[in-house]
Amino acid sequence: MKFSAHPAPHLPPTRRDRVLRVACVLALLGLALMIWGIFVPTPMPILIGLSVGQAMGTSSFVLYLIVLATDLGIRKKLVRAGRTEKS
Amino acid sequence: MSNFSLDEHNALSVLAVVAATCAALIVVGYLVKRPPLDAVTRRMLFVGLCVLPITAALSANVQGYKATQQRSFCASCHVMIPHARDAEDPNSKSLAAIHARNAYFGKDNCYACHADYGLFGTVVTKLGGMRHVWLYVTQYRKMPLAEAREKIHLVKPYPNENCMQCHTATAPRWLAIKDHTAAREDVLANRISCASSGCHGWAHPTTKGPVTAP
Ligand code: HEC
Ligand code: HEC
Repeated sequence: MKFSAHPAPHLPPTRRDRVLRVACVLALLGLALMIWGIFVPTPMPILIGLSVGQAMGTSSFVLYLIVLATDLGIRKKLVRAGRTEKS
Repeated sequence: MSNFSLDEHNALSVLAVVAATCAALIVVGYLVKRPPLDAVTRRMLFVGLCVLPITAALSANVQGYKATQQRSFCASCHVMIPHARDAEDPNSKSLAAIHARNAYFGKDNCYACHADYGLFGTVVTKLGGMRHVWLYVTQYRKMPLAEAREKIHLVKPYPNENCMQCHTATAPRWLAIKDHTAAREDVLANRISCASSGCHGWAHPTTKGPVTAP
């Protein structure tokens, strides 16, 4: 794999990690709510799973994408900087 | 949870639960080990935060949607228990019970008769269902059955069109019945209900007439 040869630039446990942790917790809560309605198929669990559960899952997904995009942006800048140094 | 059994009807539930469990394992693993965000971690997280949760969400949604059409779902609000109990009674001759014995839509029989049909019918029905949930939470949650029986009515008279989704009112043997031909205009105009005491009787006789023992 191309990237693993160049380990990620070691940023201090910054906002990125905190955002990711929030994304993980949101995902766990969202998944729990979505699954609740399967085991207890009554109005409230199903309703909450379809609304709150979905919302949490989606926010977790979006947070992850934001981290990914920011991270790749930084990497590109570093790679570009590295190239200009060599030349 | 007590009546949960594995079969082809809940393959989607199984998919949702498996996907959610795998996602949870990956996510918890990440939270516990906190590996650096290298390419491998990034991919694992992509699976754990995106692919698997989306799979779980989609299958749980479809499953939830199907569950809302089942009689057991309707009967999870206590004020619907008398209707459901009558429908499940093998000796009952009510229209609701007769239609509950059909293998094709039997366990969804409340929905089969009470869904709005036509374009946007599903959406209208689901919105109406939300209204029911709201009313239940705000008004009926603690209401005794005897009182609910007096207070719960359909918002608008039951439309014969709903029966006619299945009974076309054009079949030769339907037309051969004198009462049908005599009343056809009134039936089509909803002036006479198919489910009325002079015709096929109430769909839910348990909630009509003098109170009888359950
Ligand atoms: C054969 C079609 C049919 C089926 C199946 C059916 N209903 Fe009905 N329902 C009706 C009709 C018609 C009415 C109008 C009153 C009547 O006929 O009893 C009605 C009325 C109602 C009402 C208004 C209050 C009342 O008792 O009149 C409720 C609540 C109701 N149904 C719930 C249910 C539930 C819950 C189920 C599933 C257990 C169900 N229905 C199954 C046709 C049906
Ligand atoms: C989802 C389709 C469907 C809907 C909606 C429906 N029916 Fe039926 N109905 C059937 C089927 C199928 C049977 C045959 C049941 C059987 O053979 O056991 C039946 C049977 C009947 C019978 C014959 C019962 C008997 O004792 O022989 C009557 C009467 C009847 N329906 C009236 C109604 C009325 C009135 C409504 C509306 C309130 C209605 N149906 C709505 C599908 C439907």
